[in-house]
Amino acid sequence: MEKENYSRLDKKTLRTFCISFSIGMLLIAIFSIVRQIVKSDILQINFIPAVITGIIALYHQAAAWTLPENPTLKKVHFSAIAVIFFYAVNAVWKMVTLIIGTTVFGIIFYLIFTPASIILKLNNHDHIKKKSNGWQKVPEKTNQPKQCEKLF
Amino acid sequence: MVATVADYFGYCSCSCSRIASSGNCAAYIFTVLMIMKKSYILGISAFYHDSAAAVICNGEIIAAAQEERFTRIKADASFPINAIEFCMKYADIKISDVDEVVFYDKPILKFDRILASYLHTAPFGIRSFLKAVPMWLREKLWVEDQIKKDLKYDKDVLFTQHHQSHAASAFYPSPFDEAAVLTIDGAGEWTTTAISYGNANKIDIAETVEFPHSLGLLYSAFTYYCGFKVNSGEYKLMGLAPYGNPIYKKKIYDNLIKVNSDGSFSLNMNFFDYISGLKMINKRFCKLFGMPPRNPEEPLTQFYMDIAASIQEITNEIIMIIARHAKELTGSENICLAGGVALNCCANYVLGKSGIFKNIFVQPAAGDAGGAVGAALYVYYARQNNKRDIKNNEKKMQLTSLGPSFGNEEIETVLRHHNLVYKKLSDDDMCRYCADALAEQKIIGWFHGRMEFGPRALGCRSIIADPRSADMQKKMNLKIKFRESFRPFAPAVLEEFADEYFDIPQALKLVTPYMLTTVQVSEKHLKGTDCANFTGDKISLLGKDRSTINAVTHLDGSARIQTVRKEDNPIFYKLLSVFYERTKMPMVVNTSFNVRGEPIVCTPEDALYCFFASNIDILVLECFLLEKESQPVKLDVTEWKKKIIQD
Repeated sequence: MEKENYSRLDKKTLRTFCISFSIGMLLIAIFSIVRQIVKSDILQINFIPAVITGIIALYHQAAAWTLPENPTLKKVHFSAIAVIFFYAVNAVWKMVTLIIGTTVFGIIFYLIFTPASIILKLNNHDHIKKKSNGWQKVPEKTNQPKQCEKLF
Repeated sequence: MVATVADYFGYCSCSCSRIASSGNCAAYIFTVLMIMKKSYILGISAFYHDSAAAVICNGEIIAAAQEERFTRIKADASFPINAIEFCMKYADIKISDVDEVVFYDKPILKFDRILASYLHTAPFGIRSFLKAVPMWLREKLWVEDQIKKDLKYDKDVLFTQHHQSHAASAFYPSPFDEAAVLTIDGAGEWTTTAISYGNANKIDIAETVEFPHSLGLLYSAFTYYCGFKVNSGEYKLMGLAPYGNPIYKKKIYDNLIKVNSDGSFSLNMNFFDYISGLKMINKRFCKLFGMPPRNPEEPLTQFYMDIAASIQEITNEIIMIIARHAKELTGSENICLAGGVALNCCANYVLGKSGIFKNIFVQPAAGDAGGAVGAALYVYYARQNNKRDIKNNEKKMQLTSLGPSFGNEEIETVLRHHNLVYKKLSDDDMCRYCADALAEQKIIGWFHGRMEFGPRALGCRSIIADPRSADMQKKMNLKIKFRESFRPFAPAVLEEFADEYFDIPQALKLVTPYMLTTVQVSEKHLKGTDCANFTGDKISLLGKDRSTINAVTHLDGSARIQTVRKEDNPIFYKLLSVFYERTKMPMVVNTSFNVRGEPIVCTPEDALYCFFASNIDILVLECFLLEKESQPVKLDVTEWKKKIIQD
């Protein structure tokens, strides 16, 4: 059986891909870090995906330079794939934070708030229910201008 | 102004001469320096709705603006960095010149209320909890840090109470030395309704009604039920009320709200979902009235008009009872109103007509935006114990023209940039030209002077038209504002002719310059159309000949007027005067310069986009006049339209 020549797997092509992919990822990582610092609203990009992208870029750069032949920058169109990959990582990260946030706050709500609510209601300490009848007199202390210094 | 300056120098010279005669040089110099010292205070409101900023100097409001006008996001609740930058630039100060920065409410108390709400409803309310609590933990609790970081401000930030800010915003700019102060809104920290007493430079909150019992939220619940957006659609509900009959009043009193004889009230929370739900009302509410909430795009039926009429009448009645109680509590003949519910013009009219108080004053920016002004004034007068000068408060309308203005050069640069055809006219020529155009039924976008602060346009950022035509109301709603056809328009009338056309209670004389009350059109100007007993489609009555000023007469013969005085807005007054000379009509239709879903225009660019996106015939930008039909090119408004969120 003849051995087929898969040109795309040869080291030169592989190195070119690695370099262009890593350059694209590095540029995006740097851009998003800088954007995060200057707090622009153009794109909603998180810090962690930028770091992940940066690490992947460095990995591919290292891979390119450890190959025996000298690298050449012929094809840079793989950077387009890097952009898509970056946004995919970003979307996944947002989903992960949403899931984690929902889980954590859900646990707080059902394991802390709900039992506390039951206990408070049983002991007649429901603040919302207490605010029912008539005008509430305001204590003298509340009207003192010095109270402005406090957040409560 | 002269009296103030004379008093100021009189005080200075008196103090200085006393100290100079004592021979104490250092004290003399110190006194002079202290007298000359300007005290700048920056007030901020943010994070709920209607963010705003205000700068005051020695008790006088120098600049104030709402953030929405800069970001072009209606009711923008984000930190008002643009408004702050404008205010400080206008006052020509840096952050290091600001003596105090004050925020309009206490975030921790508000968070306490939020947590108590979830503790009350748990295990229900998880969806609302997941939305609200992370936002509070991430952003709203750290207001002080954000202020210090964004403004590079290193002193401590002050925090007034929410209703203290409202009360201060109404009382301190009023011409009263002492007054009852009534503040009613959705909810502050815990307080939803407060009766305070203002005396000299002090405000003491006497009694409150606390969350969840809230007149503002009750009104908002019905706003939602009738298919309008909460926090922006309440005045639509108010405008809808005259089309209906209050046949559901008893049902509401029997099931939803219990009102005591002293004006305190409590809501039956079994019908509402706003404590910790994502909606204002629940299924039980809908079952009570036998109809679901109206979808915003559905046509308005008589049922929802009757609902609007019912809740409006109930609101009027409750405010009256609370006002009587405030009178008993304080013994004052004067009352100041603030809080979102104070923007209910129909209720203000009923209060004015009742005669409970001799004088009424309403803060023009009665909503949360006004809290920024109130917080700053509270710190200046109550905390720093400075004297109030009320002599000129009645004379000058210092409360609304507080935003940015634009010079002729700046405007001309914009016009040239867009290759527009324009004329440059003197004030007299401009007024004559516009008066002729109004008489020819043309509609004018009027952009003059400093932008108004608050929800009303008062002749600085206005769309104006001839009020005589019965078709004008429909034309303006559908072709200019692109809004619901039932919405009425309001007149701006020369002050000296106001009593001829309208029956204005004496108590409301301080309110009419700010367009915060309805009044009845005089009998002699009404025509015989019987709107109350009409059984057909009442909206069609708008096109009938009901008065000599059809475009601004609502179905029940009322109008939400603005009285215009020469000293408040000379150029607008001149325009009205010239229009009167031309047509014997001393008023114009005055509506805000914006289309549905966008904030009132702020910059000449905003005005241009609104001009080209609507059917306004003429645009006036200070001394420049543009005619729509003369323009060789039209601005591309496609992108601009995409940004508008329908309300």
